Amino acid sequence: MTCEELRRRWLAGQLDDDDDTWSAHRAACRDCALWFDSLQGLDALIAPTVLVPVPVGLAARLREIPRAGRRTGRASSAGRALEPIAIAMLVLGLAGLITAAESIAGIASPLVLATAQAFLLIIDSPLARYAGDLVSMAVEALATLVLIAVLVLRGVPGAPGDRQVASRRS
Amino acid sequence: MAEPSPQLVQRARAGDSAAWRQLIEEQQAYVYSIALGIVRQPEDAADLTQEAFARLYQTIGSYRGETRFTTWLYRLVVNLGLDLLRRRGRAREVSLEDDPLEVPDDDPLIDPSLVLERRERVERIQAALDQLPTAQRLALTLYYFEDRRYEEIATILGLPLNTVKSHIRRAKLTLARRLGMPRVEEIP
Repeated sequence: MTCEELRRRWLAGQLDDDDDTWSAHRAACRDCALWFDSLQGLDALIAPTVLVPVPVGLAARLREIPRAGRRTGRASSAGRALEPIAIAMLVLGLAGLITAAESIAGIASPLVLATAQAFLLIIDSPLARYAGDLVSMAVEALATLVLIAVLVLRGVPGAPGDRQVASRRS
Repeated sequence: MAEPSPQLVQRARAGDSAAWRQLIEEQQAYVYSIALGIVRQPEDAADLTQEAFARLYQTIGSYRGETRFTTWLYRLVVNLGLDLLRRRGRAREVSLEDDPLEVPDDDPLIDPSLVLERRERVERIQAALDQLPTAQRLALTLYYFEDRRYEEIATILGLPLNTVKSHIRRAKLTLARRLGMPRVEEIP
């Protein structure tokens, strides 16, 4: 392998620093040895610069985090303590609602049944039949009276209807 | 030391305030550095760091110890950061007007010219790092964190092992060229 191929493979992460082929090549090739040593020599130069001190304001903000977290934690732990009580109250409320619904249904259903039966009895009773006959007779009588009145009014001379007709004709 | 002790993590899980303070103090620079590697802007990185620790506070109970704690934490940061970038459509460009990097002086009696020289060198490297593609910068940042192995970086970034190695080596090659190091020519 040429110098360039070896360096490219090392740069691509395919060779470790102590790879046999790469180490043997560096031992024999002064250029590659110097190239590699130059890069390794960077460590002493760069390493002290990568760790950046935090700004003063940030350090103060960071110190507040546990304190703020504890406040939130206390609030949430209080909330967590109330959770079972809230659940118990919810269950009790639901149970109460169900019981109430059952009671209402227990009271209401015989009442509705009785009302329906009473209604049927009233509809189907002799009194109701008599009342129905009476109403129909009254309607028939009223209709007969109206018919007679119409016939009488048309047949009598000088009746208002005829007079109007006569005047229009003349 | 980047990796917190299992006892510290356990105490933090139990809600120990002192453990939380210690955990945050130990990890904040690492988390902020990863955040900066993703979102590039210091203000955004600060917000992302805060969000990451807030999330850590809520979810530390789900840490089961299958990986190192920091692998789990940094993965959380990367996921939050990538979610943020996805919500925004894509990463915003790094502004040339970024605040200058704060480099603490190790010794107040040190020669001011040496401090200035060191500060300039750090800023030059930081500027070169800023120009790297996000994946390369992130992989390189994690690579230089203490005792971080390729496999762990792959887990944190959710990438294949060879891809992680390639990101790191290509990033180093690019940085070497940008910093004018001799004997580092481009590989086609």
